[in-house]
Amino acid sequence: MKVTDSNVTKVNKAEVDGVEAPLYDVQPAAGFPTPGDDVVERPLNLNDLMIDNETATFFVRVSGDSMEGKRIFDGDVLVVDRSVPAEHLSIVVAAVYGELVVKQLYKTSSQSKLVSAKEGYAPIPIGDADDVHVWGVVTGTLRRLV
Amino acid sequence: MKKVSVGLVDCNNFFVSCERLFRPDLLNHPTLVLSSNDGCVVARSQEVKDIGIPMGVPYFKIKDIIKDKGIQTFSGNLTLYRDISRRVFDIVRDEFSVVEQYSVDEAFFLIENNNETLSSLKNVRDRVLREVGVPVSLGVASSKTLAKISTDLAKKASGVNVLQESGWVALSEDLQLSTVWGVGRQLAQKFAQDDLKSVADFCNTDKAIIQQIYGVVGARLHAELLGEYIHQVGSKRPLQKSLMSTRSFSKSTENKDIILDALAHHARSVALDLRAMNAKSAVVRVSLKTSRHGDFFLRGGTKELVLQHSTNDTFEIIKAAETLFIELYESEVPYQSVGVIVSGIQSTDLTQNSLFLKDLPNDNDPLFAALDKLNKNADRELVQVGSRLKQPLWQSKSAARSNSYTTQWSEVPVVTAS
Repeated sequence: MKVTDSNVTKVNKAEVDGVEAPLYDVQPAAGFPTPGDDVVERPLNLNDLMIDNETATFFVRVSGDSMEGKRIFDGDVLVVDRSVPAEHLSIVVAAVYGELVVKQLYKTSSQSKLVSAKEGYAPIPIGDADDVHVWGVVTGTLRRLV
Repeated sequence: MKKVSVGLVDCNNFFVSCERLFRPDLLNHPTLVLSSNDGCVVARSQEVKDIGIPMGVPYFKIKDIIKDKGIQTFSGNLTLYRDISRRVFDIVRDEFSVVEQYSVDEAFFLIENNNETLSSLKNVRDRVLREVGVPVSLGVASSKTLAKISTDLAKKASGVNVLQESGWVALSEDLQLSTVWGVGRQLAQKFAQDDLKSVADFCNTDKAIIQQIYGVVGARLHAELLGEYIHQVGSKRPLQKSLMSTRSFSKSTENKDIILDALAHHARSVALDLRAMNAKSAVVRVSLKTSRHGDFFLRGGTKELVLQHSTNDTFEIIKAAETLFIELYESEVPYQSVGVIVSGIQSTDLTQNSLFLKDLPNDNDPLFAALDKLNKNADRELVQVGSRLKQPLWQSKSAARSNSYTTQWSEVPVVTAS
């Protein structure tokens, strides 16, 4: 989780005789101060919204329509977080016979398989062999409209 | 006294692993990576090692084997490797409190808690593999030199290893001294002359004798191999003694403009590195080489210029390099490579201005600070000093560079939904 400093934003740190002290972005008053000058916040950042673990996050682009039932469309950018455990019904990027694909994971006690979200696509069983394996879990989609 | 444990994380066949991350079709396929300009082999998959292709071999010598065996060949994609490296060592720093990154694919660390070392190493190995997707090996021992050896053993086993004193004695008899970290070719030759071949031969020699014959370097190596913690982890490494930027041309050239363009590129590159290190250099050397094969192998050479004061000013380094180049250059000789080397490197805080120089040269620090920032933000060399050509004709376009999967939106991996 991100920690937000609620009352004061530390803009910088200054070293004062070896003691770390926050340096506040406050100008000495000259005239009427702008209200709220002591609460400086950074503008919203899309990374904060879309990325939990930057180190393990990769972006990929979708080619094809087999995941439309899960509102993943041709040309979408997917946020893939490899640190998230793949569970039953997770949308995942998987390596299938050497190719990276996007599918939904079905995990039952007896077997696991990768399924599409559109009719006419056969499910792919996940065996013990290494040629079908989950690469990462899709945690979000990004799409520009214009 | 608490005994220190030193660890090393080493990424297995790192550049190949980076390429395979986005190309699962290559997981068990022989794969190798060539240096920039496709000069020689810089990384090999296990399959390529098994075929018998050595590290560093020039591309032209293995062209035929590559074709015969269907080896997948990449041109080095440093942008990608740096990004994957950053991710790997972010995790390592998250797992251990004292970490010293040693190269793009290696870092030393300290283990404070000696309980269950092996299982904690395994956890880190698994976490890096799961979250970043590249295999790493971790070896622990009681000194840096032994940690290196421990990591080599880890690679041959399950990926993690703790070097035990009991096993080490037997092992050291089979281990060639020349393969030990920090033993260069010269030192290895000296050892061989004195009939010291295995690590055990060396360890069994009296400390005082080692000190006498091989000086402080030998004594430290001796202590490290006996398990004493001499080389500190995380201690600031001394400044490099010299910096070099050099590269072969895509094909031999007699053209002065092309060579000067390359020369300026290398001068800019070392000057930038010096500024990044917060250091200056007093000696500039230029090396102009012809092919080792063919009629001109005796031509070309190296010349150096000692400056009156230390500098990291691109203009001054280019000027010195061009002066040297003019002295070296002969027309109608096909040259194969040019390089710039700076040595006598000192930290900027320590450098003194020459006593004899009355008018100090203009201080271009603010200019270069701005320039470096601009080029860094642009992610390429937007502003170049001293270039002569619009296109660097001496640089070949790398034949098989993979996409910058993690740093360019236009090059992110494509996943199929079909």
